[in-house]
Amino acid sequence: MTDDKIIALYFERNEDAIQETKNKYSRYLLSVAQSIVSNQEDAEECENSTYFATWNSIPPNRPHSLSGYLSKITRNFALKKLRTQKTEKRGGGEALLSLGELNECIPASAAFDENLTRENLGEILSAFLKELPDTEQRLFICRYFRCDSIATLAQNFGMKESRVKVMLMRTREKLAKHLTEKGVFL
Amino acid sequence: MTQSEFLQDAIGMIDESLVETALMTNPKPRRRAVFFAVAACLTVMLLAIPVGILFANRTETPEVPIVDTTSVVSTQTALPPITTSPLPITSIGTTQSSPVLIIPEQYQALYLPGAMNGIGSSAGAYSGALLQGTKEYKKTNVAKQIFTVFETSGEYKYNNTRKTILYPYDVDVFMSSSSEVHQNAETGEIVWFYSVANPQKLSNCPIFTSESSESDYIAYAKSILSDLISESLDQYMVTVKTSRIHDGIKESTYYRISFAKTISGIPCRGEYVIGIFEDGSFGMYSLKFNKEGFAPFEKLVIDKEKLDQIVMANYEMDTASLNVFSHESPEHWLYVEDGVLWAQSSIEYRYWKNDVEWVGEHTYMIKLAEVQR
Repeated sequence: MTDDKIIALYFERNEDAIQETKNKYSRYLLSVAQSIVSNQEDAEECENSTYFATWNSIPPNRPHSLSGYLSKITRNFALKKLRTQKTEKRGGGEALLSLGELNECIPASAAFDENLTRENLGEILSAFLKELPDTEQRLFICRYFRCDSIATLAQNFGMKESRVKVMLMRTREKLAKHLTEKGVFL
Repeated sequence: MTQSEFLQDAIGMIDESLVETALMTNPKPRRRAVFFAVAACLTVMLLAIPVGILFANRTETPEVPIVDTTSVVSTQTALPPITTSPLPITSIGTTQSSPVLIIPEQYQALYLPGAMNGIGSSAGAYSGALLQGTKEYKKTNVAKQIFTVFETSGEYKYNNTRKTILYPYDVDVFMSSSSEVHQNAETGEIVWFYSVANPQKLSNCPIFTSESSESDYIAYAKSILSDLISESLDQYMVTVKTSRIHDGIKESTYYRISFAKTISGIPCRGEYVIGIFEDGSFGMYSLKFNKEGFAPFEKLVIDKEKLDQIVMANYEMDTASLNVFSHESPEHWLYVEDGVLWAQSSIEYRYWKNDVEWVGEHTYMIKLAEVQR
Protein backbone atom coordinates (compact mmCIF):
# COMPACT_ATOMS: atom_id res chain seq x y z
CA MET A 1 0.00 0.00 0.00
CA THR A 2 1.30 3.46 -0.80
CA ASP A 3 2.14 5.92 1.97
CA ASP A 4 -0.62 8.26 0.78
CA LYS A 5 -3.20 5.50 1.19
CA ILE A 6 -1.88 4.63 4.66
CA ILE A 7 -2.06 8.28 5.74
CA ALA A 8 -5.60 8.43 4.36
CA LEU A 9 -6.53 5.46 6.56
CA TYR A 10 -5.27 7.37 9.62
CA PHE A 11 -7.42 10.34 8.64
CA GLU A 12 -10.40 8.05 8.23
CA ARG A 13 -9.64 6.66 11.71
CA ASN A 14 -9.52 3.23 10.18
CA GLU A 15 -7.51 0.91 12.42
CA ASP A 16 -6.21 -0.90 9.36
CA ALA A 17 -3.81 2.05 9.20
CA ILE A 18 -1.80 0.58 12.06
CA GLN A 19 -1.67 -2.88 10.50
CA GLU A 20 -0.67 -1.46 7.12
CA THR A 21 2.04 0.65 8.76
CA LYS A 22 3.27 -2.41 10.59
CA ASN A 23 3.25 -4.51 7.42
CA LYS A 24 5.31 -1.96 5.57
CA TYR A 25 7.62 -0.49 8.18
CA SER A 26 7.95 -2.96 11.07
CA ARG A 27 11.44 -4.19 10.17
CA TYR A 28 12.63 -0.72 9.32
CA LEU A 29 11.44 0.77 12.62
CA LEU A 30 12.85 -2.13 14.55
CA SER A 31 16.23 -1.48 12.96
CA VAL A 32 16.04 2.21 13.91
CA ALA A 33 15.28 1.27 17.53
CA GLN A 34 17.86 -1.52 17.64
CA SER A 35 20.62 0.88 16.63
CA ILE A 36 19.94 2.88 19.77
CA VAL A 37 18.68 0.58 22.52
CA SER A 38 20.59 -2.47 23.60
CA ASN A 39 18.07 -5.28 23.60
CA GLN A 40 15.37 -6.71 21.37
CA GLU A 41 12.58 -6.34 23.91
CA ASP A 42 13.19 -2.61 24.32
CA ALA A 43 13.40 -2.17 20.56
CA GLU A 44 10.05 -3.92 20.09
CA GLU A 45 8.53 -1.73 22.79
CA CYS A 46 9.74 1.38 20.94
CA GLU A 47 8.28 0.03 17.70
CA ASN A 48 4.88 -0.61 19.29
CA SER A 49 4.88 2.78 21.00
CA THR A 50 5.51 4.32 17.58
CA TYR A 51 2.25 2.90 16.20
CA PHE A 52 0.29 4.26 19.13
CA ALA A 53 1.89 7.72 18.90
CA THR A 54 1.32 7.79 15.14
CA TRP A 55 -2.35 6.91 15.59
CA ASN A 56 -2.67 9.79 18.06
CA SER A 57 -0.83 12.34 15.95
CA ILE A 58 -2.13 11.72 12.37
CA PRO A 59 -4.34 13.69 12.09
CA PRO A 60 -3.72 16.59 12.72
CA ASN A 61 -0.22 16.03 11.33
CA ARG A 62 0.07 15.04 7.69
CA PRO A 63 3.65 13.93 7.08
CA HIS A 64 5.27 14.47 3.71
CA SER A 65 7.37 11.38 4.27
CA LEU A 66 5.76 8.64 6.34
CA SER A 67 8.98 6.68 6.78
CA GLY A 68 10.78 9.80 8.00
CA TYR A 69 7.94 10.67 10.35
CA LEU A 70 7.79 7.17 11.83
CA SER A 71 11.54 6.88 12.27
CA LYS A 72 11.64 10.21 14.12
CA ILE A 73 9.04 8.93 16.57
CA THR A 74 10.82 5.60 17.03
CA ARG A 75 14.12 7.36 17.58
CA ASN A 76 12.59 9.60 20.25
CA PHE A 77 11.22 6.61 22.12
CA ALA A 78 14.52 4.78 21.80
CA LEU A 79 16.49 7.78 23.09
CA LYS A 80 14.16 8.10 26.09
CA LYS A 81 14.68 4.42 26.80
CA LEU A 82 18.44 4.78 26.36
CA ARG A 83 18.62 7.67 28.81
CA THR A 84 16.74 5.62 31.39
CA GLN A 85 19.19 2.79 30.79
CA LYS A 86 22.09 5.19 31.14
CA THR A 87 20.76 6.32 34.51
CA GLU A 88 20.45 2.69 35.47
CA LYS A 89 24.01 2.11 34.22
CA ARG A 90 23.16 -0.47 31.58
CA GLY A 91 23.56 -0.62 27.83
CA GLY A 92 24.10 2.33 25.56
CA GLY A 93 26.70 1.34 23.02
CA GLU A 94 26.84 3.27 19.78
CA ALA A 95 24.18 5.81 20.73
CA LEU A 96 26.27 6.99 23.67
CA LEU A 97 29.42 7.06 21.55
CA SER A 98 27.68 9.19 18.92
CA LEU A 99 26.33 11.40 21.68
CA GLY A 100 29.89 11.95 22.89
CA GLU A 101 30.94 12.95 19.36
CA LEU A 102 28.12 15.50 19.18
CA ASN A 103 29.70 17.23 22.15
CA GLU A 104 32.41 18.40 19.75
CA CYS A 105 29.87 20.56 17.95
CA ILE A 106 29.37 22.62 21.08
CA PRO A 107 32.20 25.02 21.88
CA ALA A 108 33.80 24.62 25.32
CA SER A 109 31.96 26.49 28.09
CA ALA A 110 29.19 27.46 25.64
CA ALA A 111 25.53 26.61 26.11
CA PHE A 112 22.51 26.74 23.84
CA ASP A 113 20.35 29.84 24.07
CA GLU A 114 17.56 29.14 26.57
CA ASN A 115 14.94 30.47 24.16
CA LEU A 116 16.00 28.04 21.48
CA THR A 117 13.59 25.12 21.10
CA ARG A 118 14.45 21.71 19.72
CA GLU A 119 12.17 22.48 16.77
CA ASN A 120 14.09 25.71 15.99
CA LEU A 121 17.39 23.92 16.22
CA GLY A 122 16.00 21.10 14.08
CA GLU A 123 15.22 23.64 11.34
CA ILE A 124 18.73 25.08 11.53
CA LEU A 125 20.18 21.57 11.30
CA SER A 126 17.94 20.71 8.33
CA ALA A 127 19.15 23.80 6.47
CA PHE A 128 22.76 22.90 7.27
CA LEU A 129 22.36 19.29 6.13
CA LYS A 130 20.69 20.30 2.86
CA GLU A 131 23.82 22.24 1.93
CA LEU A 132 26.10 19.26 2.46
CA PRO A 133 27.24 16.95 -0.34
CA ASP A 134 25.07 13.84 -0.61
CA THR A 135 27.44 11.35 1.04
CA GLU A 136 28.31 13.61 3.97
CA GLN A 137 24.63 14.29 4.54
CA ARG A 138 23.71 10.62 4.59
CA LEU A 139 26.68 9.67 6.75
CA PHE A 140 25.76 12.32 9.31
CA ILE A 141 22.11 11.22 9.49
CA CYS A 142 22.95 7.52 9.67
CA ARG A 143 25.47 8.17 12.45
CA TYR A 144 23.65 10.75 14.56
CA PHE A 145 19.99 10.04 13.76
CA ARG A 146 20.04 6.25 13.61
CA CYS A 147 23.27 5.85 15.62
CA ASP A 148 24.84 3.38 13.16
CA SER A 149 28.28 2.14 14.20
CA ILE A 150 31.38 3.25 12.31
CA ALA A 151 31.86 -0.33 11.10
CA THR A 152 28.30 -0.48 9.75
CA LEU A 153 28.72 2.85 7.98
CA ALA A 154 32.02 1.73 6.45
CA GLN A 155 30.36 -1.41 5.14
CA ASN A 156 27.23 0.31 3.84
CA PHE A 157 29.06 3.18 2.17
CA GLY A 158 31.93 1.03 0.89
CA MET A 159 34.60 3.07 2.67
CA LYS A 160 37.38 2.37 5.11
CA GLU A 161 36.49 3.07 8.73
CA SER A 162 39.22 5.71 8.93
CA ARG A 163 37.67 7.56 5.99
CA VAL A 164 34.24 7.48 7.64
CA LYS A 165 35.69 8.88 10.86
CA VAL A 166 37.46 11.69 9.03
CA MET A 167 34.37 12.64 7.05
CA LEU A 168 32.22 12.71 10.16
CA MET A 169 34.80 14.75 12.05
CA ARG A 170 34.90 17.36 9.25
CA THR A 171 31.10 17.55 9.18
CA ARG A 172 31.03 18.07 12.95
CA GLU A 173 33.57 20.88 12.61
CA LYS A 174 31.46 22.49 9.88
CA LEU A 175 28.37 22.14 12.06
CA ALA A 176 30.10 23.73 15.08
CA LYS A 177 31.06 26.68 12.88
CA HIS A 178 27.57 26.90 11.39
CA LEU A 179 25.87 26.86 14.80
CA THR A 180 28.20 29.56 16.10
CA GLU A 181 27.49 31.74 13.05
CA LYS A 182 23.75 31.25 13.58
CA GLY A 183 24.15 32.58 17.10
CA VAL A 184 22.53 29.65 18.84
CA PHE A 185 24.97 29.71 21.76
CA LEU A 186 24.88 32.08 24.71
CA MET B 1 19.39 17.28 30.09
CA THR B 2 22.94 17.88 28.81
CA GLN B 3 23.78 20.19 25.90
CA SER B 4 24.67 17.27 23.67
CA GLU B 5 21.41 15.50 24.55
CA PHE B 6 19.59 18.66 23.49
CA LEU B 7 21.46 18.59 20.18
CA GLN B 8 20.72 14.88 19.84
CA ASP B 9 17.00 15.59 20.36
CA ALA B 10 17.11 18.40 17.81
CA ILE B 11 18.57 15.98 15.25
CA GLY B 12 15.32 14.08 15.76
CA MET B 13 13.47 17.18 14.51
CA ILE B 14 15.17 17.46 11.13
CA ASP B 15 13.15 17.29 7.91
CA GLU B 16 11.41 13.96 7.34
CA SER B 17 12.49 14.02 3.71
CA LEU B 18 16.17 14.14 4.75
CA VAL B 19 15.66 11.17 7.04
CA GLU B 20 13.88 9.25 4.32
CA THR B 21 16.60 9.92 1.79
CA ALA B 22 19.36 8.89 4.15
CA LEU B 23 17.79 5.83 5.70
CA MET B 24 15.58 4.40 2.97
CA THR B 25 17.98 4.53 0.05
CA ASN B 26 20.87 2.22 -0.61
CA PRO B 27 24.14 4.08 -0.15
CA LYS B 28 26.32 1.30 -1.58
CA PRO B 29 28.94 2.69 -3.88
CA ARG B 30 29.09 2.34 -7.62
CA ARG B 31 32.16 0.13 -7.62
CA ARG B 32 30.23 -2.52 -5.69
CA ALA B 33 27.27 -2.20 -8.05
CA VAL B 34 29.62 -2.60 -11.00
CA PHE B 35 31.10 -5.71 -9.40
CA PHE B 36 27.67 -7.26 -8.93
CA ALA B 37 26.61 -6.32 -12.45
CA VAL B 38 29.70 -8.01 -13.91
CA ALA B 39 29.19 -11.03 -11.66
CA ALA B 40 25.55 -11.28 -12.73
CA CYS B 41 26.50 -11.14 -16.42
CA LEU B 42 29.09 -13.87 -15.97
CA THR B 43 26.60 -16.05 -14.10
CA VAL B 44 24.01 -15.65 -16.84
CA MET B 45 26.57 -16.52 -19.50
CA LEU B 46 27.73 -19.60 -17.61
CA LEU B 47 24.16 -20.78 -17.07
CA ALA B 48 23.26 -20.17 -20.69
CA ILE B 49 25.77 -22.76 -21.93
CA PRO B 50 24.17 -25.84 -20.28
CA VAL B 51 20.68 -24.52 -21.02
CA GLY B 52 21.63 -24.18 -24.68
CA ILE B 53 22.94 -27.75 -24.70
CA LEU B 54 19.71 -28.91 -23.07
CA PHE B 55 17.53 -27.23 -25.66
CA ALA B 56 19.67 -28.48 -28.50
CA ASN B 57 19.17 -32.09 -27.36
CA ARG B 58 15.56 -31.94 -26.18
CA THR B 59 12.93 -34.38 -27.41
CA GLU B 60 9.44 -33.28 -28.40
CA THR B 61 7.23 -32.89 -25.34
CA PRO B 62 3.70 -31.53 -25.20
CA GLU B 63 3.60 -27.87 -24.27
CA VAL B 64 2.19 -27.03 -20.86
CA PRO B 65 -0.33 -24.19 -20.87
CA ILE B 66 0.67 -21.21 -18.75
CA VAL B 67 -1.98 -20.18 -16.26
CA ASP B 68 -2.01 -16.64 -14.96
CA THR B 69 -2.71 -17.20 -11.28
CA THR B 70 -2.35 -13.52 -10.42
CA SER B 71 -5.59 -12.51 -12.14
CA VAL B 72 -8.08 -10.93 -9.78
CA VAL B 73 -11.05 -11.60 -12.02
CA SER B 74 -13.22 -13.99 -10.11
CA THR B 75 -14.73 -17.02 -11.72
CA GLN B 76 -16.56 -19.95 -10.26
CA THR B 77 -13.36 -21.94 -9.97
CA ALA B 78 -11.55 -19.07 -8.29
CA LEU B 79 -14.11 -18.75 -5.51
CA PRO B 80 -13.15 -19.60 -1.97
CA PRO B 81 -14.77 -22.61 -0.30
CA ILE B 82 -18.53 -22.19 -0.35
CA THR B 83 -20.54 -23.01 2.70
CA THR B 84 -24.18 -23.48 1.92
CA SER B 85 -26.59 -22.03 4.39
CA PRO B 86 -27.91 -24.82 6.60
CA LEU B 87 -31.24 -23.04 6.92
CA PRO B 88 -34.07 -23.64 4.45
CA ILE B 89 -34.61 -19.96 3.69
CA THR B 90 -37.19 -19.32 1.03
CA SER B 91 -37.05 -15.56 0.83
CA ILE B 92 -35.24 -12.80 2.57
CA GLY B 93 -37.04 -9.86 1.17
CA THR B 94 -40.06 -8.87 -0.79
CA THR B 95 -40.07 -6.22 -3.41
CA GLN B 96 -42.40 -3.45 -4.38
CA SER B 97 -40.51 -2.66 -7.51
CA SER B 98 -40.92 -4.94 -10.53
CA PRO B 99 -37.41 -4.86 -12.03
CA VAL B 100 -35.95 -6.44 -8.92
CA LEU B 101 -35.89 -10.17 -8.74
CA ILE B 102 -35.64 -11.77 -5.34
CA ILE B 103 -33.60 -14.90 -5.60
CA PRO B 104 -35.61 -17.66 -3.98
CA GLU B 105 -34.48 -20.70 -2.04
CA GLN B 106 -30.92 -20.53 -3.22
CA TYR B 107 -29.35 -18.35 -0.63
CA GLN B 108 -25.78 -19.19 -0.04
CA ALA B 109 -23.52 -17.70 2.51
CA LEU B 110 -20.18 -17.45 0.82
CA TYR B 111 -17.34 -17.42 3.26
CA LEU B 112 -14.72 -14.81 2.52
CA PRO B 113 -11.22 -15.74 3.64
CA GLY B 114 -9.34 -13.23 5.70
CA ALA B 115 -10.35 -14.15 9.24
CA MET B 116 -8.15 -12.36 11.69
CA ASN B 117 -5.34 -14.23 13.32
CA GLY B 118 -4.85 -12.56 16.62
CA ILE B 119 -5.46 -8.89 17.27
CA GLY B 120 -5.67 -6.85 14.11
CA SER B 121 -7.97 -6.77 11.16
CA SER B 122 -7.80 -8.17 7.69
CA ALA B 123 -7.60 -5.67 4.87
CA GLY B 124 -8.01 -8.15 2.07
CA ALA B 125 -11.43 -9.53 2.85
CA TYR B 126 -12.90 -8.89 -0.58
CA SER B 127 -10.04 -9.67 -2.91
CA GLY B 128 -10.40 -12.60 -5.22
CA ALA B 129 -13.91 -13.30 -4.03
CA LEU B 130 -17.23 -12.13 -5.33
CA LEU B 131 -16.59 -8.45 -5.22
CA GLN B 132 -14.11 -7.96 -7.93
CA GLY B 133 -12.59 -4.75 -6.74
CA THR B 134 -11.22 -2.36 -9.28
CA LYS B 135 -10.04 -2.87 -12.82
CA GLU B 136 -7.98 -0.08 -14.29
CA TYR B 137 -7.65 0.92 -17.89
CA LYS B 138 -4.71 3.14 -18.64
CA LYS B 139 -5.37 5.57 -21.42
CA THR B 140 -2.95 7.79 -23.22
CA ASN B 141 -4.98 10.97 -23.34
CA VAL B 142 -3.35 12.62 -20.32
CA ALA B 143 -5.30 15.73 -19.47
CA LYS B 144 -5.63 18.21 -16.67
CA GLN B 145 -8.85 19.49 -15.22
CA ILE B 146 -9.90 22.01 -12.59
CA PHE B 147 -12.37 20.86 -9.96
CA THR B 148 -13.97 22.95 -7.25
CA VAL B 149 -15.23 21.14 -4.20
CA PHE B 150 -15.80 22.72 -0.79
CA GLU B 151 -14.89 26.19 -2.01
CA THR B 152 -11.48 25.02 -3.14
CA SER B 153 -10.31 24.76 -6.72
CA GLY B 154 -7.54 22.42 -7.62
CA GLU B 155 -5.83 21.17 -10.73
CA TYR B 156 -6.09 17.43 -11.21
CA LYS B 157 -4.26 15.26 -13.68
CA TYR B 158 -6.00 12.43 -15.52
CA ASN B 159 -4.77 9.13 -14.10
CA ASN B 160 -6.83 6.25 -15.48
CA THR B 161 -10.30 4.91 -16.15
CA ARG B 162 -11.66 2.39 -13.69
CA LYS B 163 -14.48 -0.06 -13.49
CA THR B 164 -15.36 -0.38 -9.82
CA ILE B 165 -17.84 -2.34 -7.79
CA LEU B 166 -19.48 0.87 -6.68
CA TYR B 167 -20.57 2.12 -10.07
CA PRO B 168 -22.30 0.45 -12.99
CA TYR B 169 -20.27 2.49 -15.48
CA ASP B 170 -16.65 3.49 -16.12
CA VAL B 171 -15.18 6.27 -14.04
CA ASP B 172 -12.36 8.58 -15.05
CA VAL B 173 -9.93 9.18 -12.21
CA PHE B 174 -8.14 12.50 -11.77
CA MET B 175 -5.48 12.92 -9.13
CA SER B 176 -3.64 15.71 -7.38
CA SER B 177 -1.01 15.30 -4.66
CA SER B 178 -3.51 14.52 -1.91
CA SER B 179 -6.90 14.31 -3.58
CA GLU B 180 -8.77 12.20 -6.08
CA VAL B 181 -11.82 13.03 -8.15
CA HIS B 182 -13.78 10.30 -9.93
CA GLN B 183 -16.09 11.25 -12.77
CA ASN B 184 -18.71 9.31 -14.63
CA ALA B 185 -16.80 8.72 -17.88
CA GLU B 186 -19.89 9.39 -19.99
CA THR B 187 -21.69 12.23 -18.24
CA GLY B 188 -18.74 13.90 -16.49
CA GLU B 189 -20.68 13.97 -13.21
CA ILE B 190 -18.52 13.77 -10.09
CA VAL B 191 -19.23 10.46 -8.39
CA TRP B 192 -16.48 10.34 -5.81
CA PHE B 193 -14.41 13.08 -4.29
CA TYR B 194 -11.64 12.15 -1.93
CA SER B 195 -9.10 14.32 -0.12
CA VAL B 196 -6.80 14.37 2.87
CA ALA B 197 -5.76 17.96 2.27
CA ASN B 198 -4.57 20.37 4.91
CA PRO B 199 -7.24 21.52 7.39
CA GLN B 200 -9.72 23.76 5.64
CA LYS B 201 -12.42 25.94 7.12
CA LEU B 202 -15.47 26.89 5.08
CA SER B 203 -16.80 30.43 5.06
CA ASN B 204 -20.02 29.39 6.77
CA CYS B 205 -18.29 27.42 9.53
CA PRO B 206 -19.94 28.10 12.90
CA ILE B 207 -17.81 28.98 15.89
CA PHE B 208 -17.12 25.85 17.86
CA THR B 209 -16.12 26.15 21.49
CA SER B 210 -15.29 23.76 24.28
CA GLU B 211 -19.03 23.77 25.02
CA SER B 212 -19.85 22.43 21.55
CA SER B 213 -21.28 18.94 21.56
CA GLU B 214 -21.00 16.05 19.16
CA SER B 215 -24.46 16.85 17.81
CA ASP B 216 -23.26 20.35 16.83
CA TYR B 217 -20.58 18.79 14.64
CA ILE B 218 -23.07 16.32 13.14
CA ALA B 219 -25.51 19.14 12.36
CA TYR B 220 -22.76 21.13 10.65
CA ALA B 221 -21.53 18.14 8.62
CA LYS B 222 -25.10 17.32 7.62
CA SER B 223 -25.92 20.87 6.53
CA ILE B 224 -22.92 21.30 4.27
CA LEU B 225 -23.26 17.84 2.77
CA SER B 226 -26.97 18.30 2.09
CA ASP B 227 -26.13 21.49 0.22
CA LEU B 228 -23.42 19.75 -1.73
CA ILE B 229 -25.51 16.78 -2.88
CA SER B 230 -28.84 18.65 -2.98
CA GLU B 231 -30.53 15.96 -0.95
CA SER B 232 -31.68 15.61 2.63
CA LEU B 233 -29.60 13.29 4.77
CA ASP B 234 -32.27 12.86 7.42
CA GLN B 235 -32.91 9.24 6.47
CA TYR B 236 -29.22 8.37 6.35
CA MET B 237 -27.52 6.43 9.11
CA VAL B 238 -25.05 8.61 10.99
CA THR B 239 -21.97 7.11 12.59
CA VAL B 240 -19.54 9.19 14.63
CA LYS B 241 -16.12 8.04 15.74
CA THR B 242 -14.29 10.43 18.02
CA SER B 243 -10.65 10.22 18.90
CA ARG B 244 -8.20 12.24 20.88
CA ILE B 245 -5.36 13.51 18.73
CA HIS B 246 -2.15 15.36 19.48
CA ASP B 247 -0.31 17.83 17.26
CA GLY B 248 2.80 17.88 19.43
CA ILE B 249 1.57 20.84 21.47
CA LYS B 250 -1.98 20.20 22.57
CA GLU B 251 -4.65 17.53 22.58
CA SER B 252 -7.94 17.92 20.77
CA THR B 253 -10.85 15.87 19.48
CA TYR B 254 -11.26 14.67 15.92
CA TYR B 255 -14.68 13.64 14.65
CA ARG B 256 -15.09 11.16 11.83
CA ILE B 257 -18.68 11.55 10.75
CA SER B 258 -20.21 9.29 8.13
CA PHE B 259 -23.63 9.21 6.51
CA ALA B 260 -24.77 6.00 4.88
CA LYS B 261 -27.90 5.42 2.86
CA THR B 262 -29.91 2.50 4.26
CA ILE B 263 -32.21 -0.10 2.81
CA SER B 264 -34.40 -1.68 5.47
CA GLY B 265 -32.13 -0.18 8.08
CA ILE B 266 -28.98 -1.81 6.68
CA PRO B 267 -26.30 0.67 5.57
CA CYS B 268 -25.10 0.74 1.97
CA ARG B 269 -21.40 0.87 1.18
CA GLY B 270 -20.31 4.11 -0.44
CA GLU B 271 -21.07 6.61 2.27
CA TYR B 272 -20.18 10.24 2.79
CA VAL B 273 -17.36 10.62 5.29
CA ILE B 274 -15.89 13.79 6.73
CA GLY B 275 -13.16 14.24 9.32
CA ILE B 276 -13.73 17.41 11.36
CA PHE B 277 -11.25 18.98 13.76
CA GLU B 278 -12.39 20.62 16.99
CA ASP B 279 -12.38 24.11 15.42
CA GLY B 280 -14.67 23.01 12.59
CA SER B 281 -12.07 22.71 9.85
CA PHE B 282 -11.99 19.60 7.68
CA GLY B 283 -9.02 17.31 7.23
CA MET B 284 -10.46 14.50 5.18
CA TYR B 285 -13.44 13.97 2.92
CA SER B 286 -14.66 10.92 1.06
CA LEU B 287 -17.88 11.55 -0.79
CA LYS B 288 -19.14 8.70 -2.89
CA PHE B 289 -22.22 9.61 -4.87
CA ASN B 290 -23.57 6.18 -5.58
CA LYS B 291 -27.23 6.73 -6.28
CA GLU B 292 -27.59 4.66 -9.45
CA GLY B 293 -26.30 1.38 -8.05
CA PHE B 294 -28.71 1.10 -5.15
CA ALA B 295 -31.64 2.86 -6.83
CA PRO B 296 -33.45 -0.31 -8.06
CA PHE B 297 -33.34 -1.75 -4.56
CA GLU B 298 -34.40 1.30 -2.57
CA LYS B 299 -37.81 -0.06 -1.64
CA LEU B 300 -36.66 -3.57 -0.93
CA VAL B 301 -37.66 -4.99 2.43
CA ILE B 302 -34.94 -7.14 3.88
CA ASP B 303 -35.69 -9.46 6.75
CA LYS B 304 -32.76 -8.65 9.01
CA GLU B 305 -33.66 -11.38 11.47
CA LYS B 306 -33.35 -14.03 8.80
CA LEU B 307 -30.11 -12.51 7.65
CA ASP B 308 -28.80 -12.75 11.20
CA GLN B 309 -29.93 -16.37 11.39
CA ILE B 310 -28.06 -17.31 8.21
CA VAL B 311 -24.88 -15.66 9.41
CA MET B 312 -25.10 -17.13 12.89
CA ALA B 313 -25.81 -20.64 11.60
CA ASN B 314 -22.81 -20.51 9.27
CA TYR B 315 -20.60 -18.90 11.86
CA GLU B 316 -21.48 -21.54 14.47
CA MET B 317 -20.75 -24.30 12.01
CA ASP B 318 -17.46 -22.77 10.92
CA THR B 319 -16.18 -22.08 14.43
CA ALA B 320 -17.43 -25.31 16.06
CA SER B 321 -13.90 -26.57 16.53
CA LEU B 322 -12.69 -23.37 18.21
CA ASN B 323 -12.91 -22.60 21.89
CA VAL B 324 -15.05 -19.48 21.38
CA PHE B 325 -16.11 -17.69 24.56
CA SER B 326 -17.82 -14.57 23.16
CA HIS B 327 -18.97 -12.99 19.91
CA GLU B 328 -20.45 -9.72 18.69
CA SER B 329 -23.74 -9.38 16.85
CA PRO B 330 -23.45 -9.74 13.07
CA GLU B 331 -22.74 -6.48 11.27
CA HIS B 332 -24.27 -6.06 7.82
CA TRP B 333 -23.43 -3.80 4.88
CA LEU B 334 -25.00 -3.77 1.46
CA TYR B 335 -23.05 -3.87 -1.79
CA VAL B 336 -24.14 -3.65 -5.39
CA GLU B 337 -22.18 -5.22 -8.17
CA ASP B 338 -23.43 -5.60 -11.74
CA GLY B 339 -27.06 -5.20 -10.71
CA VAL B 340 -26.81 -7.68 -7.85
CA LEU B 341 -27.44 -6.68 -4.26
CA TRP B 342 -25.22 -8.42 -1.72
CA ALA B 343 -25.17 -8.32 2.05
CA GLN B 344 -21.68 -8.44 3.45
CA SER B 345 -22.04 -9.75 6.97
CA SER B 346 -19.25 -9.98 9.51
CA ILE B 347 -19.11 -11.39 12.94
CA GLU B 348 -16.26 -10.87 15.38
CA TYR B 349 -15.51 -13.40 18.09
CA ARG B 350 -13.00 -14.17 20.80
CA TYR B 351 -11.56 -17.56 21.56
CA TRP B 352 -8.87 -19.34 23.55
CA LYS B 353 -6.01 -21.10 21.85
CA ASN B 354 -3.05 -22.43 23.84
CA ASP B 355 -4.16 -20.30 26.81
CA VAL B 356 -3.92 -17.13 24.71
CA GLU B 357 -6.94 -14.97 23.88
CA TRP B 358 -7.45 -14.56 20.13
CA VAL B 359 -9.79 -12.41 18.08
CA GLY B 360 -11.32 -13.80 14.93
CA GLU B 361 -13.68 -12.50 12.30
CA HIS B 362 -15.77 -14.37 9.76
CA THR B 363 -17.27 -12.55 6.81
CA TYR B 364 -19.98 -13.88 4.52
CA MET B 365 -21.47 -12.61 1.28
CA ILE B 366 -25.17 -13.26 0.89
CA LYS B 367 -26.87 -12.63 -2.43
CA LEU B 368 -30.13 -10.84 -1.76
CA ALA B 369 -31.61 -9.72 -5.04
CA GLU B 370 -30.78 -8.77 -8.59
CA VAL B 371 -32.15 -6.58 -11.31
CA GLN B 372 -34.13 -8.53 -13.85
CA ARG B 373 -32.57 -8.07 -17.27
